[in-house]
Amino acid sequence: MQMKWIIGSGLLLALLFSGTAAWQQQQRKQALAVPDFQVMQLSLRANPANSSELEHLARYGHPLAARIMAEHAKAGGDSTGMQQAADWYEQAAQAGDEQARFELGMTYLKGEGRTQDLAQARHWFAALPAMPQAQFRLGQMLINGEGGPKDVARGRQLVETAADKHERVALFTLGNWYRYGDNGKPKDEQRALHYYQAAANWQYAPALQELAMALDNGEMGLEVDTVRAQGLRNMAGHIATCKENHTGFIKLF
Amino acid sequence: MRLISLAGAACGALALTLVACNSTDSTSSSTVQPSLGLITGADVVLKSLDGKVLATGATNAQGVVSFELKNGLQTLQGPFLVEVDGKAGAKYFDEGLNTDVDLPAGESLHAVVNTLSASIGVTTLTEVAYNRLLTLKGGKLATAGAADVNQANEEVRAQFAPELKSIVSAPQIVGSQTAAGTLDDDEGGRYALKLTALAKLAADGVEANTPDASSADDVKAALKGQRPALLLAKQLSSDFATGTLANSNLNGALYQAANFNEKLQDKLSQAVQQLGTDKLASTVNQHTAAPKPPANVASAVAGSQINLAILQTTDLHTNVKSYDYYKTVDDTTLGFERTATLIDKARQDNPNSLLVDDGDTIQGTSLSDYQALVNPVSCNTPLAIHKAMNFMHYDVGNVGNHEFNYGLPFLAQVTGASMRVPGTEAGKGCEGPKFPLVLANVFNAADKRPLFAPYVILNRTFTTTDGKRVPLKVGVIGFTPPPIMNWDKRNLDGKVFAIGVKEAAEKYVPEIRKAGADIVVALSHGGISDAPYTPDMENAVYYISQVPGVDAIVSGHSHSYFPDGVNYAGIKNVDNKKGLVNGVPTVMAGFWGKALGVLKLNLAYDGKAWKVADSQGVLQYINNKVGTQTVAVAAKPEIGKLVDKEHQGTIKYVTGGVGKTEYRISSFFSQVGPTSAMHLINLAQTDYVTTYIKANLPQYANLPVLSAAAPFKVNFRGTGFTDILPGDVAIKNVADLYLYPNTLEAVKIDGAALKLWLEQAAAQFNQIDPTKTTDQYLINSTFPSYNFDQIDGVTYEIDVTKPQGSRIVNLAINGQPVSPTQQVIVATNNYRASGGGGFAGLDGSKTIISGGDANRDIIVNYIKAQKTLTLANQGAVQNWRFSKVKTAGNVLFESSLDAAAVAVARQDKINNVFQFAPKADGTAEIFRIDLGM
Repeated sequence: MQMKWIIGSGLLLALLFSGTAAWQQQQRKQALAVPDFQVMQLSLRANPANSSELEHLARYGHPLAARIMAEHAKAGGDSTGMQQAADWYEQAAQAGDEQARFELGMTYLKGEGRTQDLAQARHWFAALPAMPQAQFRLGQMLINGEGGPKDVARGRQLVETAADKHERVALFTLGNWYRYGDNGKPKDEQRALHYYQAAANWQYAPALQELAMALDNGEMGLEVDTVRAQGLRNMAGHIATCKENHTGFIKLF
Repeated sequence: MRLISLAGAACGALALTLVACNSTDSTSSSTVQPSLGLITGADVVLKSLDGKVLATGATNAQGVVSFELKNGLQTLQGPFLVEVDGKAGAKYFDEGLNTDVDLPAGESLHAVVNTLSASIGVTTLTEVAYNRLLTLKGGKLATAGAADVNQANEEVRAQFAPELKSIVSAPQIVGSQTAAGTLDDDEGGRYALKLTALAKLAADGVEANTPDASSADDVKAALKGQRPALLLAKQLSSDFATGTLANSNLNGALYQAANFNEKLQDKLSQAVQQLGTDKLASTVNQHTAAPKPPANVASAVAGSQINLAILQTTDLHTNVKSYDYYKTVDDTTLGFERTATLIDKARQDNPNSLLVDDGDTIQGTSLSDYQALVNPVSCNTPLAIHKAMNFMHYDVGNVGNHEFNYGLPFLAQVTGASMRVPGTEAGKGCEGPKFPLVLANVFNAADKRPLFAPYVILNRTFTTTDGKRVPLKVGVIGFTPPPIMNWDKRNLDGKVFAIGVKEAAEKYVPEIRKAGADIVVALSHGGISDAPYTPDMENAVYYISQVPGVDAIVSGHSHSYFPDGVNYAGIKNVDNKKGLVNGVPTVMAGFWGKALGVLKLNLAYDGKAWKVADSQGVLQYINNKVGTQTVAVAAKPEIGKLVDKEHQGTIKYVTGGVGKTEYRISSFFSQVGPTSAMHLINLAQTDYVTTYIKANLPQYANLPVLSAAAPFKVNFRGTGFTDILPGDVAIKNVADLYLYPNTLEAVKIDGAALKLWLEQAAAQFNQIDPTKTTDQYLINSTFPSYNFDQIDGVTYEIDVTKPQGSRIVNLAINGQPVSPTQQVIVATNNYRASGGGGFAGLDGSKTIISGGDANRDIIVNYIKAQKTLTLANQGAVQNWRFSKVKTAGNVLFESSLDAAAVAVARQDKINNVFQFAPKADGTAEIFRIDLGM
């Protein structure tokens, strides 16, 4: 009699267990089926129900939902938020969201919300061969031997390719290489100017500042133009403190 | 002669009896509800037209008085005169000024009615009708009969308030406590709204006619003595006595008959946002509540054309004057006072025009901080930027994203909007823009209604190409970037929510069309991009252009220019010369007042609808190249005068002390030794970073916190040094010490990178040959001083006899040599941390703190916390020096001609510098440094 109970309850448990697993599968399938567009509309927090729906989708593996949860957590700006953001980025990255993979790479690179782990950072950047931002970061890590062995030649190539694809930090970095004769480049102020101006056209604040200071002081062969310098300096100041991204192209140069 | 009722008539025969007649029709009381806004403590007298007093009373706290219809009153035949008389203690709530105003003896409002119905209104409009009646009867009121009364009342109704059934209906009464959304789309609500709009129009008129009122500290106080709403009642009464609105002989007129209906429509739009329900707003938008337009306005006919210019400013960011508040000097590359000159010219050149602003208006300079935080603007006066915009008679404005930076209560106050968010209630009674604001994609989270009016429909009259005046209803809708929910999360989360720009356009544009708009203009605080649409897209102009029914788009936010033939090139279906996005005329006019957008539309009427037949976008700049010179247009002087108090106040703010210093803070010797000037920067940065790490990055709490600073001003090209004398330290001084508007960033690097950082900085020096007997200059003049980073928290020596790259010796922390692998944190700025200056290993990947706080602000806050800087606590610390070496010849550098320069060096414990000789061109003093000391 006892045996029957044991087998019976065992079977019942097994049934329940597989039922739960099946239910989870079902939830996950439904979550993944929600189109990105709809997820974004939820993200604008139209009502509390939407917020919890968003979180539900994120938990069940919707990549965009998870990434949006990360961005919301990050927007608060505090350290708990950063840690939560890192967890959501991880979830989204695992689910295949490319932007999240990059952000997770940056998280490990900077140790922001997770303990710094350069090998992990390199891993995530390497998984994004088509993303110039990631390729720039990978390039720098290869040059510096961070998170893995050095490969200076390949690293430099990645940085240049990223610059070709208008990655702003890459453009600025190339400007520096030419200005200071770093990383195998000859000192060439004209080429440096070209790259700084390209970065400035994408509203990269350090490039705007570089050119502002150069115009103030007559550096890199530029004629002193304190008025233009002032304009660029003010723009750089606005962009640096502004919470918006200011990443659009404005043909300043 | 109208009889009250048959039963009443029958009762009338028995009027002499004291027995009340039980008639089912007769009312037992009549409540008089006067309103100019709520009237309290005034006498109300019920008279027959021959002047015989029938009953008296006084308005109570709710503004009403009831008369019992007994003792024969209920059977009397009209007409009746209801008179509301001011006296000592009587007040009315002026809805234009949103303040209580005296209603003294001698001031009266009248209504003439044929019957004593259950409730009777006595208002501006009934006063106008009373005066009309007097004129009709040659001044002999007693001779007026019921038909005359009906005629007068009906004429006024048809002219001023066709949406009402009767002007002697009782309006809902609006006082200072009246909440948002109180007025619904019923007779009482409509009437109340009409009165609110009239009062607002009156207040605008009074302000325009009162010199210096607009620049008063308290605009309400400056104007309340003129009793705007009451004054308008009198002026309209006098004007409409003839039965038409002409105002040609009115002195000090508060309005122009020619555009009375346009102005009143604008005021209705503003009033309904503050007090009305959505239904009532719909009535306003359908122009049901609009007064009769002037006689010379004809309907458009097929073939009619209007050349209309939409004039645009955007992203002004409170740059009212052409001024730099950090340097306290003029800056003619920006400033609305110059854009205003362009506006004047554009209006001359384009007789049909509308002036619009696309948002990011109220935040962005020291002036905005002054008015929001330092000396908060009062409810009784508009922001400086709004004063200037009111003066220029804007037609409508959009809400951008920076509008939310100072929080919702502030925004509600300065825009006068009813947001229905807790904490923002006071806003609707405050002075603000005289033009309506629109925003269609941000909603109150609790009641789901839009935070601002999603759109308005402007009532305008324009001149066709063949000289006829025709009406045009211009629908204007506004959008802001949905990511405000992240950018201003702390201010907005839980209180409002946003929807996608395209979704909002699709929701409201059809409504605007249905309400009868002839053309629709979209004010999009967002730029132009053909990236795939997402609901959180900031730059959604491309997708707005694809929503049917949008005739023109005003764009902004991106701080760029369209159409200038340069920007936004090569985007599919975007014509950056004509200014078309998917065929829709579009304009984007820069930022900070640098440009005025002029979107020229050629509108054509085909008999059924107005369409844009042709267009051209033009950008006019306040700076133009004339030969090799850049010439700025002249400033419009009235603008500067209008905001002079706020302007001077801001200057006082940035030049006023935030703390004191007991010692002189100078950059004279910041290139040759550790100075108090650099140390101050480093102290502030170290303090900030240490606090931040404790709170947010506890895993790094054990790492040393270092800080880097460099001198910006070392008299390069004679531009002087930073030199703050003992006494007050002002924001301006800090902005001179920290010349660039950087934000603080902290990096985590290893000892090897730290040494490289210092080596790179030490490249500032020429390699000194100790055996040379001739003079050697220490500093390489082509090396920018802003790259001479000095790092606090470590000790080190710079050996200038060595070649570049090998000069840093004895680098230690707390006496311990720095190992190449040990981790340290260095506070610096966004420029350096991103690789600016080519400092090895810094490329943004080492940044662990990047909050967006400006280095300048951090220094200001440090000084505020310290209150007084003392040499003991903040004076220079000798943490670095040159390696001692005896040189055969002089080692020289340039510094200040100031007689006290050496004393300053000694104050900072720099004992090895001595005056040598003045520089030949007189711009500097040459100093000698004794590297052997």
